[in-house]
Amino acid sequence: MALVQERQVSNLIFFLRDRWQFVCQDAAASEKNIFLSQEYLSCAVLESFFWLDLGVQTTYFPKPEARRVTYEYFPQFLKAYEHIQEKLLIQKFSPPLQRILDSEFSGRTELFSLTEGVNNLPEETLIPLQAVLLLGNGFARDRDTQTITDSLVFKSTPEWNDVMREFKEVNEKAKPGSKRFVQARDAMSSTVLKIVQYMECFRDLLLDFDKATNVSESRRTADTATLKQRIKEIQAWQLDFRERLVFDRFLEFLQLALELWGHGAKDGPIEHRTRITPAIVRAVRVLMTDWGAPPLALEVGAS
Amino acid sequence: MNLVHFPASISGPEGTYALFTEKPEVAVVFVHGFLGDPRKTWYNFQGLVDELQASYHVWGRSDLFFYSYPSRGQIKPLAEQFREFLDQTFPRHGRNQQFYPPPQRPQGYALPSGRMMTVPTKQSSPYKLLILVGHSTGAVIIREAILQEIRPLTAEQINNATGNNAFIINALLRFFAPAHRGAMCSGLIGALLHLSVSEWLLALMLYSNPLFVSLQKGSPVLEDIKKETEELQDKFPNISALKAISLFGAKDSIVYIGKYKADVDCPTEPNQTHTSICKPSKDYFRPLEFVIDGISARTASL
Repeated sequence: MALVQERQVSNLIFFLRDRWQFVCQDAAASEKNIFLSQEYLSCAVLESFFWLDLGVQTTYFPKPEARRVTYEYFPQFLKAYEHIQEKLLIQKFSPPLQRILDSEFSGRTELFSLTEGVNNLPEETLIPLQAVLLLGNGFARDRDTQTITDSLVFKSTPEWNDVMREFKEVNEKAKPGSKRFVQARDAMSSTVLKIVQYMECFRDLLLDFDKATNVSESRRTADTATLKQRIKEIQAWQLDFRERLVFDRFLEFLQLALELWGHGAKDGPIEHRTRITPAIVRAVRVLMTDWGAPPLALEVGAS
Repeated sequence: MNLVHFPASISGPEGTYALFTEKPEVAVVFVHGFLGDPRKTWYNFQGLVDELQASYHVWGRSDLFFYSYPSRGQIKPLAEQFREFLDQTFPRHGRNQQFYPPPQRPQGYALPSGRMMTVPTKQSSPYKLLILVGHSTGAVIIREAILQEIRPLTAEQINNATGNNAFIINALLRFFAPAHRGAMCSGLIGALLHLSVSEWLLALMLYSNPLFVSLQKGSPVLEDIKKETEELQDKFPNISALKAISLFGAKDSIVYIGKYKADVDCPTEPNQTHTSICKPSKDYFRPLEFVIDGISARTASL
């Protein structure tokens, strides 16, 4: 597969198989989907479109084939766009992304003609871009993380309280070691683990992005900074800790998961409650700043 | 420094994928541990194999397969499923039953209109070498799979293996923090607070995961695998798939550091933990070197 174009087509085919077909299937059955809200599915469809657009602007995907894909799936993209406009969710996406949507779905310009600062990037930036996509696709198609993300970001307060009530009941009433208790504890903690691992990997990836392989030289440029920023923006809606509601819900979920572990903690319940839980929450809280949460010092009021 | 590998979906358990290269000579199969993941566990092999190809050119001639499996069930059936994956992934052709890259490379996608998006298939050569890379319990699954491969064979078949058997029993084994000498499930989380937060959470979960707990030091499953492997190591000292090289982090708090009798000893990595040991970065190249260490000796053209 020596030709660049063949390589680009191959990249696109993988993207369609690894991410888009799952998003598309869920979105196509959005009215019947009992797991995910239409708001979540619409944002997921648009996120896929942003990756497609970024892939074209960076020459990772071929423009003609990416256009063809967009034409073929245009009803899904348009439906998602209209839904987030109707529900006033457009603010979930950054201004550059909003401009891309406005331009691409207005019909006024040629498809993928708005670069929004991402074009003519050095070819070496395609390597971290491919790694980001692999990581992001895995997160996007995981049912556990999809469900919790949907709840964190889109559920109404009564709906969120219903989700948490069940877990709180287990924490307060179920016998530690019982099937109900273990199931709830493991479900919550495996979800937390997946999210925290993803946030860690993503942070490491962004840190590694600017480092040249020869450590004496940094390859930090305005181009890579723009690319990094775009990558962050595309995914930001999922764990949007800029929003106080999402921020508070995630910490509530994390605290409860840790409380469930405290019941059988080998360290002892007091040690778990007074030292381990606060340390874990604090460390996760630091990771959350990469996703828009205010710096820890600001939250605790330190000067 | 350009992209050398291109990603592809391959058949196998949900989440399994591959990174292919133009003219592969080596197949490297990665098997994650319990509560691991085929993307995050090995991060960032996926990018650095291309970015650092000038220094580690073997990676430029290697196809990478990231195997996925659910973190439930016992070692034996998980190993059976893994062998099934190996059989499906590497089709055999030709008089010598050589192992070729899977037919999924390159692949296609059908658009709603019925139009097929494809890239042309190229003639490929058989692989010269298989490397099985396991992390934590992934290493135990690989060890059990090797035993399952060897058990039905006679001594003569093992020594003169061809086709399917030859490819697998002549594989190289590279393990990161293998659980083959047992899992620690009695540790205190409070003692881990200097590590990364995902390491604490993983420890919290693994310390009470029934399957992981069943792999505590002295477990019958581990004892049987060790005993049988060491006996075979004595009988067949030239079979590479019976001897592993393992790399541990000095700060591992999930598994016991140790090897089997004829395994190759390797110094621990000073600042690495159970999960960071297999994650190369631009400040930590060792995992990239470790997997392909000694390959030139095995395959002259590489």
